[in-house]
Formats: sequence, structure tokens, C-alpha cells
Amino acid sequence: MTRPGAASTSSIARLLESGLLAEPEVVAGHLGLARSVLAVTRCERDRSIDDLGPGTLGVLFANDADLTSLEVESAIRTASGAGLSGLLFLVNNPDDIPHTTRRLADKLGFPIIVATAQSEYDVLDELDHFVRSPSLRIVSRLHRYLWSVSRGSNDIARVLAALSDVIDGPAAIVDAEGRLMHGDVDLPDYVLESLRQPVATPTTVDGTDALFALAPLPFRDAHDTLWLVASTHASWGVHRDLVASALAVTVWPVVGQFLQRQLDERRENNERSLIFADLLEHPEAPPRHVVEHAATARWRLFGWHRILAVSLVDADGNLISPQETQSGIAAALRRLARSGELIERAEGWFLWWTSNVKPTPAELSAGVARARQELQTATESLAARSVRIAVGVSNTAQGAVGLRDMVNEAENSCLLARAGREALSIEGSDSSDARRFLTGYYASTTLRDLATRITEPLIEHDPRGDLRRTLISFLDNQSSTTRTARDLGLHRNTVQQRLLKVSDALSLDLDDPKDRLAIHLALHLSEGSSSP
Amino acid sequence: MTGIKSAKLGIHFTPEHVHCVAVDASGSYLFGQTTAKTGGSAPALDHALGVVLERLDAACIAALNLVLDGSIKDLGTEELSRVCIVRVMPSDRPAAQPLAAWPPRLASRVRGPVIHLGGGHDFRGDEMRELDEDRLRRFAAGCRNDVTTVAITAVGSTGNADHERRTADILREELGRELSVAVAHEQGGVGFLRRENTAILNAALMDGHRRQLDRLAEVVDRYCPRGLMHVAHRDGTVLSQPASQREPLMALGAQITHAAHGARRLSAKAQAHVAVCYADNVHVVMADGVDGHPEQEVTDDPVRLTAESPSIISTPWHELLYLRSSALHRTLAGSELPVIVCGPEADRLLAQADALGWAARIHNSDALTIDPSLFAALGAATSYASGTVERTVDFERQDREFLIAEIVSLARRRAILAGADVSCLKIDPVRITPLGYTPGQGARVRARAHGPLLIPSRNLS
Repeated sequence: MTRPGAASTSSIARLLESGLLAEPEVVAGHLGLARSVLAVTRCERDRSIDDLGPGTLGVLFANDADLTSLEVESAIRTASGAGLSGLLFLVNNPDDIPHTTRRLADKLGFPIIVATAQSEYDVLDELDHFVRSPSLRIVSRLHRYLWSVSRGSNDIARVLAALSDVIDGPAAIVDAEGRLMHGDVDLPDYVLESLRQPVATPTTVDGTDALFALAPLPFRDAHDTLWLVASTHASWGVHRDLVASALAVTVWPVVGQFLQRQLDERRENNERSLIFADLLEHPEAPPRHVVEHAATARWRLFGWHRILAVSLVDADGNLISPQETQSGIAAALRRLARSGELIERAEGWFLWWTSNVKPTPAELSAGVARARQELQTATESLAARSVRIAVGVSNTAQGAVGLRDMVNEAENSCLLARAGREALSIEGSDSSDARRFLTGYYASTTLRDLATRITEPLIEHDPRGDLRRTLISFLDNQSSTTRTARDLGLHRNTVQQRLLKVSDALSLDLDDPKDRLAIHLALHLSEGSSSP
Repeated sequence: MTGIKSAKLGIHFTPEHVHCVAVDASGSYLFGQTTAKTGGSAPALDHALGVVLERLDAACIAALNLVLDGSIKDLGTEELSRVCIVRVMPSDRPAAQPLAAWPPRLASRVRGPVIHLGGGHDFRGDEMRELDEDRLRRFAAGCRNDVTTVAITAVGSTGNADHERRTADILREELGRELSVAVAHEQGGVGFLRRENTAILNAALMDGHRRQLDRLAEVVDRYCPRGLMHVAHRDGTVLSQPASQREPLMALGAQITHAAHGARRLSAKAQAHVAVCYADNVHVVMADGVDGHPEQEVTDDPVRLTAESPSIISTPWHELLYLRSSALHRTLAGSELPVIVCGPEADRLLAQADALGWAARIHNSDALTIDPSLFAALGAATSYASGTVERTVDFERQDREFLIAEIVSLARRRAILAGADVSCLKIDPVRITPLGYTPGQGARVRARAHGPLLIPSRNLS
């Protein structure tokens, strides 16, 4: 694996590898292919050759020399004596160079290259940039590339085609497993290994006869890294730099395309959410535009509805809006919603399934199990940021009114789930009535603020949170100091000492059942800010 | 032999032997060897290199400079091609026919189809008559299956070679790209007939020379994969294989100048006359620029050519003592420079030095103790490559500085193609000779570039 940017001195051999010459053929002087090349200049006639500096590759076009004549012999002698690196003949129909001329070049170790003529000034510029200032060449090629990309749409296929053209090889977008998303590149196993690096960074990988360049698309979630990959002919410094630079430039229009798609999707989601809200507001007599949309979107309002309300809660207990979420949870929700609808709401998402017949309890249980399985995959990345998933599951009901009821039921269940401490909390409509009693309690912002104020002294006395953890454990363990000490891995005396400090800080009597209930509820309500 | 990082070989082919000398990168003599020559040059080189590489690592051999045997005088007709002769001139009635002063046997062997074509330029390069391309194409169509070699000479090609080049292009279109073509402006020289003679002989020798060099190059590649092959030029320098293929004539008779070069180098006397003694002749190679006769050209070639060679005076042994009024004696008498004696028959000349009156001038130091037969190989091993361009111009109508810079640039390119290292090229002072018989400011401008050979770097291996 080689870091991009390592430049080397140009030589005839490297010039031949560059791909700048069409059908190059070394007709003589192979021993001199390692000669350094410092500049590439046209020779008008062979008499001007000795005016060129040492290290120059002299270029003669069809009009400048007759390959079969003694002029070529004379040119070789002049160029070799003047210290030129070699002679390049750009001709459309290369005649046979005489044997004596080839022999001379072979003996002098002076390379003679014949290539098909192209647009002469472009070729001269390209070759000269290549040897004189590799960075200039890169800038020149990139400039041309950007110009071509900027002229049309940023369609990913078109951008990849332009990239392929500039690097002289195929390009594609793949995921971390090497699955092709756009374009087509054949990636060997050793390149796939590089896609799985812990920290995604641009890199190049040398194959036996190919160079692979990889650049991650700069999305924040490393677990879902997409790669822009390209394959080109095995090459050295300058071409390698060009490939790496072209990839670095290309990731931005590609990312732009992805962002554009997300924006389109979000706009569509918002529109759908508004219509859904209208539907819930007027379930008995939905507005006409809602009915029209429901029809075109195949919303079967008359069917049996089941709702999953999903919210994300951060470490402070605050809800995270869907716009701020990462692709991991979004992808899991999209997978879950394949047979239903995914609708954004202020507090998260609704997943909505409709069926023509009433689902059986077993089908409902299977649905919940599947939701747990899918969402569990997203918890790992969310846990790293102390974000939990709260899911409320509704029962099932028929018609538009039933839909509204199921939405309410799922929202209430989700509210209960938000009080949980697990990375993924799922509450269903079958939760006990006693717990349902808490729903209203959790929903009160006033009570929540009050609970935070009540428990604040604990944090002021002990910013590390030891007192708070000890108190929660003590209350959860039915006021048993022995079990609290065991759970926390502390000595019982330590627990007792901490509880004394808690009583002092909160001015509570923990032997009083009312005080214990009050502080237990307050802690649960403010649990978000104190959860370990 | 170890520790040698780079070495050059000079290899001199004679009818009976192959003489080989190795020098290091600085040109210092390492060793010499002589092997018997049996068969052609390629097997002889194969054998000689096999022996050399027992003493030297093949990878360190950067250059192999070959001095081919043979001279224009001894030119065998079997290796000559029939040459299609194309004259481009404004007049339809030439004063002299091609090959007019050639030995009849040689002329009849070489003569192919001849055409006088309308065209040509004046000394300033202005077109005197439009090139008659239609007639040229009709002519080519008529000898399509009969011509493989062409010599093209245009009037005024030293001032403007467009018609020669255009003629060559058309003939290649009509007769095929494999056609061997010698164009006179590449040989230089103001005289039309000399330029034409040179072009015709070059064309006649071209195919045979190319085949010979290809055979030799195969052997060189087999033994010395990094060594560049060069061929000795009769002006004392060497040429790369493709450059030599264009001027095969100049590979003939190169042993004399290279022996002189080797002797001067070994004795560390850059300014000295050198007497190269062979069984039949004594060849005295004059020091350049001697006595105000820098272009004096004394040769026994049977055809008047524009060969760019140092002044060589060749004298048969039996004439040496008796022709005291000869050019050789006159030239040496007026010079204070020392005379170095070398060659297989060096002792014979040294024995006669008193009688010749040269004894006091003889400079043969102890450094000359190597086998006298090896001097040509030594000279080739240490030779440079050069390129010379000669043109006629009119300074009244053309910018002087621009013209001179252009001619110097052409000379540089020729030197580079000949094998010189562009980073070490030196330019001789440009010689400008006014042409008194022309209107305006007509002049003959001659530029020469020379330098050590471009050799492969060992770092690459």
C-alpha cells in the first residue's frame, strides 16, 4: 500500500507507462529507457536538436523527418551527443526505420520511440507537464475533468464516466463489503481487505498489473462507509497522484448526489407526514386531498391497522428528531417498513401496517419480534453516543378511526418505553394498567422540571454521580442496603454512609415511605440525566 | 587486459594482412597485432577480432575504425556498377562528354545511359534554366529495368543544389526507392567535370561498397555489440557507415593519410611531413598549409577528382633519387618542418636519407618503435570525424553572415553524420576565396567541422 503523493524523476520508461502516448513502440535503444527526462520539446528539423538541453526528449512529427532517410541517423547522433534523453517520432504511418539506424540507436543506448500522432500541441503539453512539473499535469488534467463534470448534471453515472476517462480506468461506488452500488470495478480480495479498515481514509493499493485507488465518501457514520473506488494501469508517482487527486475531487459531487436524494426523500416524507396528520385529525371525514393521496399511495384506510411508534432518546432524556438521526436506524426502519409505511413525526417515526383481515395475536407477536430484531442492529452505533431507542406497539383496529386510536395507543406505549433504561425498550398495548398510570405522569413537562430540581442537589454534592446511583439502586432493591452493596460492588457500610449523605443533601428521611416514593418517582422522571 | 573502460580499434586491411591497433579513451597505444588475411575482408575481420578479444573485453570496445585496402589506381572493374549519368545543364550542347578523359576500359565498364537535361543554376544559385522534369520522367521510363545506379551532376550545384535533389527525387519515384544515387553537390568542388567524375565513380562503387560494409558490420555486431563501426576516409578522418556508403570513393587509398596521422600522433609532432614507404612508392603526406599551398593536390589518381585529401606526393622508388626537381623535392626544400618516416619499407628510405639530403630533417623518435605496418591502423584508431561543405555564393546579393552561418551549419551536420560528437565539434576557420571571374562579390566558401567520435556510454550496459 502506498501513500499518494510520492513523486519520482521521470524517465522514458515511465513516460511510456503514463498512457499519454497512443500505441507507443520502442523501435531501438532499449538500454536507454531508464534515462531521465527533464523536458519534452519539439524539434523542427534535426538541425535544431543540439539547441535543446540535456535531458530533453525531442519530439519529431511526420513533417519534421522522413524515418527512412539519413536525417534520422543524423538526428540520433546529434541528440545523443547533445545529451538528449531520446527521440519520439509522432507519425500516423510509421515507415520502417532502416536497420543501420536502429543498430546505431541500440549501440548508443539511445531510445527511439514511434507513436501514433495525436493533436500535436496537446500531446506536447501533456508530455512536457508530465516530466517537467508533474503537479502541473495533475492540475491540467483535473481542470479539464472538473470542467467536463461541471458542464452537465451531477448524475452519478456521468460523474463516474468522467472519472474513468481522466484516470484511464473503471470507477465505481461500493459499500464496505465491496458490493457494487454504481459503476463496475472488479475488486480482488486484497483490495476488499482495505475497504474494511477501522478508520476510513483515502488510499491506493498496488496490484500486480493494476493500481486501485479508494476514497471513502465523507459520511459521518463509519459503519456505513461507502467507497469511491477506481482501477487503473499499474503506475508510479505522477499518475498515482492524478488518480488519488481525481478521486478526492470526485467524492464531493457524488456526496452531493446522495445528499440531493436525501433531501428529495425528506421532502417526500414531510409531505406524507402532513397528510397523515390531516388524516388523524379528521378520521371520520378525511379531507379530499387526503383521500386522493391515500388512494394514490395505496393507503388502505378501510383495513386493519397496526402502528409502531419509534423515538430516539439521548443521554439527557431528550428526544432526537428524525432529521438528526443517522443512517443506521433509518436503514433499519426502512427495512421494517418494506411491507408498510414509514412516516416521520416530530417525536420520531410511525411504522404503519394495514391488512385486509384482522391479524392474529401470533402475527402481532411476530411483528414485534421482528421489530426488536431489526432495531437491535441499530443499537450498537447508537449506544456509542448514549442514544436509546424507545418503541411503542399498538394493538390492531379497523378503519380510519381505528387508525387514529392505534396511533394514540402506540404513542402512549412509546412514552412508557422512553422511561426504560435499556438501549432498546419496547412497550406494547398489553402493559399493565398500573404502568399505564405512569404514562400521564411521564408526559408532564412541569413534573419533569420539578423532578430535575428535586434531584439536582445530588449532582451538586457529588458530580461523579455515586450518590445518585447508590440511591437508585437502594430504592430499586426495596431499601435493602445488603443487595445495594452487592449490586454496586461496595461494602455495606459504604452504602449506609452514602445514604446518610443523600438524606442530608435532599433533606429526606429515607425511612419514611412517602419520602421514598416521592424521590423514587422523581429519580425515574429525571432518569435521563442520571442514568449510568 | 583489464582495467580498460573504453577502447577504440583501428583495423587496416592489406592484401595479405589485417593490422589491428587498440588505443584507450585518451588515444594512447595499448597494443597492436597482425593477422594473416585469407579470403575476403569479412572473414579476415572475423579472425582478427577473435584474436583481439582474447586480450580485450568486447564490452569496452566503443569504436572500430576500418581502413579498407585498395586504391583508385588499382580499381578492379568487377566491383563497379554501370552508372546512369544525368547531367543537368542550361546548354543543350556540352563542350565535353561525360567520362571523356577516363581510361577507356574503366569508362566502358562504368558507362550506362546518359542524359543531358535542361536545368542548372549560376554560381549565385539563380536558376539559369527550368529543370526539364517531363523529359527526365520519359527518360526514366525508358530505362526502368536497366538502371540501378545513378550519378547526377548539375551546373551550379555548389551554389544551389535544388535541381540535383529534385532530379534524384524524380528518379527514385520512377525507378524505386532502392536506387543508388550519387549527387555531385555532396562531393563539393567548383569544377563541373571533377564533380561529375567523382559522382560517377561514387555511384559505380556504391553497391559493392554497401555490400562490403554490411558484411563487415555483421562481424562487428557479432563480436562488439556496443562498438560503432567507421570507415577511414582518404582525408585522414573516418566516416560512419551510412556516410561512407554515400562516398565509397573516399574509402580508397585512405591508408596513406592514416599512416601519416598515426606517425604524427605517435611522435607527438602535429606539424611534420610524413613519408609513408610502401614497396612500390614513397608517399609523402605534407603538413597542412605548407608553404602557402594549402590546396596543392598532387596525386597519381587516373581520374581527376575533387577528393578532399591532404597534399600527398607519391613517387616510385626508382624515381626518388633522380627526380630532384620534382614537386616533392621542391616542396621539402622550402620547408623547415621535420620529416617522419614510416611504413613497411621505412628502413629503405632511412638508408637513403643522406643521399636525398633529408637526413638532418628526419625525426624518428623512440616512440616510433612499433611495427611500421601498424601506423595506418593506429591513425584510424585515433581519427576524428569531419564534415566539409563548399559552396559558391554572391555576397553582394546575399547576407554574408547568414550565408556563412548556413554553410557552417551544413558542415556541422555532415561531421555529425560522419560520426563526430556534437558536444566536442570544432569549426575550422572558414575559407573564403573570391571568384575574380564572376560579377558582383562572388566567392567560394569552404567550411569544415571536425571532432572526436561519438561513442556509446558504458553506463548503459
